[in-house]
Amino acid sequence: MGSVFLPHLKSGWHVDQAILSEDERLVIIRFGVDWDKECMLMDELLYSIAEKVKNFAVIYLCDINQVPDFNQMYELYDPMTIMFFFRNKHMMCDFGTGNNNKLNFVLKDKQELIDIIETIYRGARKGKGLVVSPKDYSSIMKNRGGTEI
Amino acid sequence: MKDINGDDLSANLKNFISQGKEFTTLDLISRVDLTTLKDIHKLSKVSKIIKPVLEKISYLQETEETSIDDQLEYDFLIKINDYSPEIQAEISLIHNFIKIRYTPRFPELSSLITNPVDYAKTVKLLGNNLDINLKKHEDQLKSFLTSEKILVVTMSASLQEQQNLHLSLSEEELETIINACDLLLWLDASKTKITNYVSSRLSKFAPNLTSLVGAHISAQLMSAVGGLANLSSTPSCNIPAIGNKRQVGIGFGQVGIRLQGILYYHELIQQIPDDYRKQALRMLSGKIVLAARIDLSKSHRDGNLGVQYKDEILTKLEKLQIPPENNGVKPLPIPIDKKSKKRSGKRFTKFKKQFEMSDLQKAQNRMAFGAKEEVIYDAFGQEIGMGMAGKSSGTGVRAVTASTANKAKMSKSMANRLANNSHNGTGLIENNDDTLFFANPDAKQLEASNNNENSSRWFTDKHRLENLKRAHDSESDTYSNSNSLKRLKR
Repeated sequence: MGSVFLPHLKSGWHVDQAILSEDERLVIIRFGVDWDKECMLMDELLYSIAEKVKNFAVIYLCDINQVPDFNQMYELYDPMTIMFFFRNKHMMCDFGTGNNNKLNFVLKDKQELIDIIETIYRGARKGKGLVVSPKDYSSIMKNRGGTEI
Repeated sequence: MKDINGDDLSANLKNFISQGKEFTTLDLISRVDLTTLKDIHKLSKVSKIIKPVLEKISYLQETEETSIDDQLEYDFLIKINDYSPEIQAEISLIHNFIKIRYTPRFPELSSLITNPVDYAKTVKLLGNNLDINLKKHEDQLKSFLTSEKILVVTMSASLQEQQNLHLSLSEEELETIINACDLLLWLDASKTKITNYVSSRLSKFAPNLTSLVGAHISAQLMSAVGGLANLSSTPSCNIPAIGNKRQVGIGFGQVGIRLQGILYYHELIQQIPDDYRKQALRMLSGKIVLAARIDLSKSHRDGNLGVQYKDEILTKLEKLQIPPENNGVKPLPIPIDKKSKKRSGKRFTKFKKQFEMSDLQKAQNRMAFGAKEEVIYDAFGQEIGMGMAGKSSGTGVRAVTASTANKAKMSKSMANRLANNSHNGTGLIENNDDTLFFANPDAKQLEASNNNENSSRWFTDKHRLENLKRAHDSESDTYSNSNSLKRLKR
């Protein structure tokens, strides 16, 4: 249900505007498709924390089929990808998965997601481009394709 | 069904009573065939009791208040209060009787006017000639029926006359019906009289209680527990159980409120939603006992405390029923790292100094230019470079000295305790040299300085190493400590 309530970005222009217009807050965009299982799970999680983090982060959804403009540039090949931007700058985060550019695995805990967002926001405020995730997610990636531990 | 005339009825009743059962009007309704009954007066049990009661009421109302014995009047009040449900039951019995008898003349009337008293009044006025009497008594009808009701009754009555399907009632039959109507109206009037009397008088005896729960229920409660004094000493948790008639078999579940006593039928409890009834019952019963105590102590004779209690309960219940406020999720604060407000100070600087690298450690990390580094081996055969902390690198004035800031420390009280222990002979193990040293650090220091100047220079807790039974000479001892520090740092 989360995907119903969160705002969708309908075109490349919308995505650009969403990233550009936000000066003080972190822009979190979920790239994927609403009917995908992973997206559904993550949307639910994002929706549940959207109200909590609204002071320092704003969450958007973007359909990669409807808006294919970024698929190549951002290498959006996973069913679900979350990317972070701050003042028109892409924020990287070291999750221990090997891919620092995006969060492409499903989290289960709200607090973990909030912690990641807070960490990225803190780093972004200090002008850092890469931050280290508070928790290491290398074990999640190990089981990619199979069931998650 | 068997035809019951007057004699049969009394025989039947006698038989019924002789079975040892207490019979009520409701029992009578189920047992007596109303279609064949000749005189309803014979069935009326209450009318005989009420007559003297009414006489006494009018006597009491006429006489001076001061001349009446309070206790007697009080007992009388409580007693007659119990009659009103009986009267009510009998009114419904007679209503049934009239309905059955009058239906052949005007079948729809019973469904048009459901109130027993209004029905009886209308039947009495209409009698056998519906149309004529309706016009004749319209003014009288207006006194107890709404004009819409009258219109409906008139319509159906004229329809009835046109169809001519009805059978006219015989004179005898009509008289029976009118007699029954009179009895019903009389019973109703006496019920009102009794209720008025009880409420007017009870508000003198128990003004606060009466203003809290009303005269009828206060009188019922008092009669159940046996008076105001008993009511005031009843625990409030027992009040809802008074007059509870609900039977719940063992092993059977129950729905709703368990205790449906007298208080359960109070209008305040009845009009509140089921979810809050239990709470309302508790509140009300608590206040009832308080009000009873106030009345017993004969204070607040105007009943204002009872009114106040009632208002309190009403406002409380109102507040209870307000839905919870829908406060949205509270957003988290913006995670901005603020600069620590703690800067420095003597104490804090000293504290921080404990964790500083000692000069010796610093020297070990530096390399002398153009000189071969001295190397030692630890217990596992690992090579450890000494850097500029080596034996040959600094001598005399320029020799590196160990800092004392990061020395292992013992609190004053602990030192005292240990010293005391060793003096009193209650020390740990006195024969063991190490323990003695531990107990008295000064002695240990003395010993260490005797052993080797180099070691005593910066490292005084040699005993630990001795415990480990390390087979090192004094010089390698010196460095094993810096070794472990280095490992920690890795």
